[in-house]
Amino acid sequence: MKRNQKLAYLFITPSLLILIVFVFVPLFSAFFISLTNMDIYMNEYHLIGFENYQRMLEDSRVWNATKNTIVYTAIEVPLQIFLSLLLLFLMLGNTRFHKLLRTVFYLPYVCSMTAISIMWSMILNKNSGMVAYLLAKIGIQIPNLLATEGYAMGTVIAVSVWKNFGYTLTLLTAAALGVSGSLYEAAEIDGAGWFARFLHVTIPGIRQTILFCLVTTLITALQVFDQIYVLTQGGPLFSTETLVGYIFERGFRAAPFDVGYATSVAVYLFFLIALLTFILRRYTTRREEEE
Amino acid sequence: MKKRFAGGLLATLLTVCLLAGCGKAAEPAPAATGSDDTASAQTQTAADTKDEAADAGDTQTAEPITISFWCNFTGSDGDVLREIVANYNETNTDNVTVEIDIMDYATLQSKLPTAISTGTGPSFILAGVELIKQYKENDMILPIDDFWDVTGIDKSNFNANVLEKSYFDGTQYGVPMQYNLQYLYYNKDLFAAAGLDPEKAPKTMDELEAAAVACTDAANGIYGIGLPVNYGNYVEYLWANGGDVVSTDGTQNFLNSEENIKTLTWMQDLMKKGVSPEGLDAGEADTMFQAGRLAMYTSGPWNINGLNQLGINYGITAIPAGSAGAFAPEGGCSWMLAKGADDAVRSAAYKFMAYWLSDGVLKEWSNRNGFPVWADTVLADPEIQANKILADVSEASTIGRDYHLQLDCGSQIDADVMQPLMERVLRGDDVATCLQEASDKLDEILGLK
Repeated sequence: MKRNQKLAYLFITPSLLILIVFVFVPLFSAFFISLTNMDIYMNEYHLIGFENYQRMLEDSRVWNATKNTIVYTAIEVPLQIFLSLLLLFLMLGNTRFHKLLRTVFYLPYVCSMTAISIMWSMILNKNSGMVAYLLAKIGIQIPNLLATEGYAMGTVIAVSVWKNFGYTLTLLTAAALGVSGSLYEAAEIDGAGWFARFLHVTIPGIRQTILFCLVTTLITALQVFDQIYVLTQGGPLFSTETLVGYIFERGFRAAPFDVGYATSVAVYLFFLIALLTFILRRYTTRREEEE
Repeated sequence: MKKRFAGGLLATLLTVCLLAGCGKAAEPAPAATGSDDTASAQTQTAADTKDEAADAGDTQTAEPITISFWCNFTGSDGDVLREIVANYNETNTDNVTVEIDIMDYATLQSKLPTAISTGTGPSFILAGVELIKQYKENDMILPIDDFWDVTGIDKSNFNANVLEKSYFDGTQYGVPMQYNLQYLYYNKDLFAAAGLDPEKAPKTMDELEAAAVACTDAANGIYGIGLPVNYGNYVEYLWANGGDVVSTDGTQNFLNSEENIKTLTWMQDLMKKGVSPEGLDAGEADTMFQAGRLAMYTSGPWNINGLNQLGINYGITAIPAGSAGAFAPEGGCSWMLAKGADDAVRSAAYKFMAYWLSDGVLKEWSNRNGFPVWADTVLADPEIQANKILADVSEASTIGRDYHLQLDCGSQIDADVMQPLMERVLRGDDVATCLQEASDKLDEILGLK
């Protein structure tokens, strides 16, 4: 090994240590724990093979949580990206007013999800919330959005999109402003209108950023927890219970605090996220190669 | 050469910085405790209890000692608890400093076992009595059978049913801190507006139904009773008609019974009559009662303090009786000594627990938080006797019954069986089917299937 190579390894040691201690060790420990019957007290646990995974297959709550997680992700992620693109299109002029709007849209993102969820739960509450009260004043009765099976998931998604789209919008705007002005001029000379220029100049120009947003929001969406815990606690009748919520429920909330089983669900979620991210990356990479 | 040396030094420095960040912080010096304003407000109480506390324990230690406890008193009662602890720290003559760490239930449950097993946990714990069995079986707490002898406190001064909750298999593992049941709250103004006698609370389920119907004025957003979907179990109403959920030892499932079908059908009919808002949440029920939009609802004593501060004209009474009588599930908290406590820590913790059992502290806790009184000498106190709400609460606290307190799977029964069952029943699903499915799930949890 050359001397400068040794030095390079020396320089990456701190980062490597962080990765080992905070990523690899917990990752492999989690896989080990998922093969045990460990509870939260960690007394007298032993290896039970793949029993936890076998139990998962028979646990309807896991499949219900998987379905809810996928439904949430499949709606929230495209909606967030689409809304950001729509607003980007409307604010491509980058005037002072547009800058002000972008700041306003970004504000919810810097707030705590818990605080925002509490705020929305108060606003949307059927019996004591402002929205139901004001609409009732003009003769419109709304259902209990957070306590009715058909509406709860939609409401949670709407709150999540409202909070997060400012972040995506900011990233996409930064990328769009980097697209060369000469490309727009050329397109304009060729007779392209506003929408055509957005579709054929802006979108291809920010494709990598869109992909980045897609992957990061996908991973975040698959791990959704805070807003659901505050807004619905997984209800009504588990209709908004997601995988992370179920992991929390089994491991830390309801006796017998079955950490081994909860960890096996966490390992399953890990592979689910890895698989979906891998598929997305493969698909987009292939598209790029084809083009 | 110089460059390589500087590079190596820099990399080493970065690594050292990183590892330093992972190090354990130095033990804090015993903190000055309590705030001036709270201290002054409570000086009298502290003075009253100081002598009793000073007498506690068979040895007086001059060596300063700091002990700590963890609990999940995240509500307004946690503020009162902090004040009482601060008073103790300022007034005790034993050089004992008590530190308090309040966290939410899930955090407490996840941190405590690891902390105790690694010696970084608290000296003692304040937790629900239903956790004593789990903590004991997992070797997290120590027996404290010598507490009464060491402190010289008269055990007979306290209600036996409260004391027994701190025992497991005949051994004492806790010192009671508070005791509570569920109660029926009712709004006297709404009763009067509906033409009912505000001083006559419903005593039976039939009276409850009649009052709920009379008080409901849905057009104006006023409901007779709050039946939240996520309240937990409603076992008090099942018991009232002779039904039940599970035997106290967890070996029998009583859920699928004619008595329970009758009670749940009665509750479903109440919903159909429109006396309760649909899809009501337990937190929402608190808010609606505070806003004068619910005439009645069931809750623990922790709401009394807030209702008093809001000036609500309310009454509190025992859960109404059904055909089999009136019952309410018991609850409470105890002080427990964490594993690893040496003699000095044990002695200091006993002194603080003895302080808690002093008349002044128990009286302050009941007066300020509305928890029922469970000590004879405090019950005889004129100030306590003059407190109408507290007298009613104490009177309504004689119908306590054990609901899965000794079962490891207690919280799972509520979360996985009772709450989904009540959600389905209250939204109008077929009661018999719901009970059958809930019963099957309960069998699964109890290992009876």
